[in-house]
Amino acid sequence: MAINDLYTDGIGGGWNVRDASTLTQDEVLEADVVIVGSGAGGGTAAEILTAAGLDVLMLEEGALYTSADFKDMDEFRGYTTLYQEASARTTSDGAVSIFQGRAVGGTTVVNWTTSLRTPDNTLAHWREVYGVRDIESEQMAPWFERMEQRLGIEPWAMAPNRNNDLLRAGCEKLGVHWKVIPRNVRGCWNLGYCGLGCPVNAKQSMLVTTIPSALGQGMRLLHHARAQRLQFKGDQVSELTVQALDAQALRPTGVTLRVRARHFVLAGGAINTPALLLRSNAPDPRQRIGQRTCIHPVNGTVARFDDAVNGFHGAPQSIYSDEFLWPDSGVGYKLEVPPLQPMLSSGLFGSFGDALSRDMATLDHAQVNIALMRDGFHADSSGGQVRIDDNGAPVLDYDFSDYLWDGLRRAYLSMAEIQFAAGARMVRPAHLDGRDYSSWKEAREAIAALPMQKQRASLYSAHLMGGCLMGEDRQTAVVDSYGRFHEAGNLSVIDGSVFPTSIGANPQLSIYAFSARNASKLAESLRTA
Amino acid sequence: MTTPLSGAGLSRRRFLQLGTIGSASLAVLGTTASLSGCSRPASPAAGFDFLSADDVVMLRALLPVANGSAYAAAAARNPDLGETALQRIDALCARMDPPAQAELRKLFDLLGWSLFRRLACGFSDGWSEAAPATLTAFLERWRQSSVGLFNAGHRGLVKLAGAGFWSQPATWAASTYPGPPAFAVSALNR
Repeated sequence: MAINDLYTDGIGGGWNVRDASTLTQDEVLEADVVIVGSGAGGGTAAEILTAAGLDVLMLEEGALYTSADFKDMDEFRGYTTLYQEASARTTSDGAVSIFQGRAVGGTTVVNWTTSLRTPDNTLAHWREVYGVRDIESEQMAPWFERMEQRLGIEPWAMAPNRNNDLLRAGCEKLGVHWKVIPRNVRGCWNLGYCGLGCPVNAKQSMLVTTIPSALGQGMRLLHHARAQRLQFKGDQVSELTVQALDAQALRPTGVTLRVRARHFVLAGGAINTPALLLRSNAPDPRQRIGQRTCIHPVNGTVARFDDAVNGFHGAPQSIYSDEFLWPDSGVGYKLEVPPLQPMLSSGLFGSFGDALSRDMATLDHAQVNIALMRDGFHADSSGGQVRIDDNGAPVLDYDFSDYLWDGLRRAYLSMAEIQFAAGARMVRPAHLDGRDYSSWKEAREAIAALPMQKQRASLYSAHLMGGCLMGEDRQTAVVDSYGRFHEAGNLSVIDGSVFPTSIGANPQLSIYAFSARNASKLAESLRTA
Repeated sequence: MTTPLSGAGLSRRRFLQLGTIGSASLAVLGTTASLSGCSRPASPAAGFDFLSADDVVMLRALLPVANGSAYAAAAARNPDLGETALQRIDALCARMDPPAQAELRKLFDLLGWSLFRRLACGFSDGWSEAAPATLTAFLERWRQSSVGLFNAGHRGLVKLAGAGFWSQPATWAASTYPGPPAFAVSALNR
């Protein structure tokens, strides 16, 4: 069964899609609006702004890959072509591995499709502590509904794979909360390769929804194009300098593009957007750009079951638990599971040599729980910081307070207890000092004594948030409640970097909803201006 | 750390001393190395984008040790497996951003220096001469070290070696992975 390749057909039908690596001469480009980035924020904004009749130019530093490129379902191809730094991105000290997309469609091409609304508690916190306005739950609900309909978001109706079902079973046994995950899919084959690009165009990523829709209405897309520097003149952005990248989308070819627009929208995500502003010496009187970057730090536990789990196949995420998300004290965390194909899994065990060979020899019996820390809500968890090095490249510093370590330890405990309740033969924390524990009692005692230190605990992040905080108070916020840059009139940030804290849920639907809301407001103001 | 250092033949106290020396070494030796020209900007080996000839020798020695018994078994059946792993590691490194590449370059250059290996890694043989047991002891030493920098080095080396190896279809049998569902592969690639 051949899967219709949207881009081959679309480009044949007249879509304006260009590959900057093929350019041989400098150019000046003009548009009503230029959007830097094509992920959840840029993709959503593109469809809305184009539909409003505006002439939109979208820039993406990554390459254009389509379903035709994804049908091998191969880990190495996926991780090296679709992710920032070939999936080897980390915090500056290497302690946290960062999974962030880099291609037309951004992280939406590689995320695991979990689509949850921003929790009401989070919206309330943003109103009360950060003075973000017009985000009452009732005001946001229509935006969530709109994007849920647009992207086919519904609770997963098929049976969860066993990796997910064991999370459900353990929660059920202990009488703690669990729920079915809503996913942004239409006609999903339940294969399990969401992280490597959907081979059947079932995942309703920006690549197959909003970007094609905008292209069909005349938007121009230029990929292999890295936004290098915004030119500020008075309280306006006058120009954006763009470097064309080579075919590998790695090094500049030397061709430079100058982009002029009435309005500039930054949508490069919570690392690249602040870095672009810092590189550009953007006006920042209170030094807020790049501050409070939240990452939902993730830890995990690996369990072995007597019966096969086969966690490498089937929708990667279909069950979650929020039992521990809003505790009375301490940091809260959300529980989910990851897909378990071998390349990704080989790093989870924390072993090497013959021990790693032994661990991998029972991968089909492994079940893994992960916990996402809800960082940024407490004085002892103020996130990390994006800065740039001498050459302007982004670097993320992120430190762990005792408050966060305490949460990570409690999460190891919760996850192990759930796994034993589900019938695990043994459980091991993903930590250099983690061992295989054969009972909950043994695990509880050992985890209580684990040294909670960077480089010893295996830590991950797939969610980057903050760095260009929204809010009305210019002392703390970089953009206003609708994403407009406080210090320049024709600049907006429409991506995850506007969030004042982490979300407490996988962020894609939050980014979609806020981006739809803010882009709609922007379209209105540009039309009447 | 309360784990006794079995296998390394070192007392905990001695280990901690070495760890401290090692930690200072990284900074001091790193500077000395670049001042004295020991750490020349490494040029990529022929056929590689990031790895130097010395890096390739080191990683070729570490690949079997980092991945364990599954490596020898898979390599025996697939003569190209080792070279493919090196190419894959090179592709990962070449796609890192410059700040991460600079850190990796520092680490690889230090590991290529015998004085550093003697002080911080516990051996001074060349990478191609070192016995597998020696290299296992080195990885274990950096894993058990109380110095975060060495733990990070351990993680980085094991992660690269693991990605280069376990990503290859030739290793699927060793990881119980059947590959993508056959029905989908045949339907999509028809």
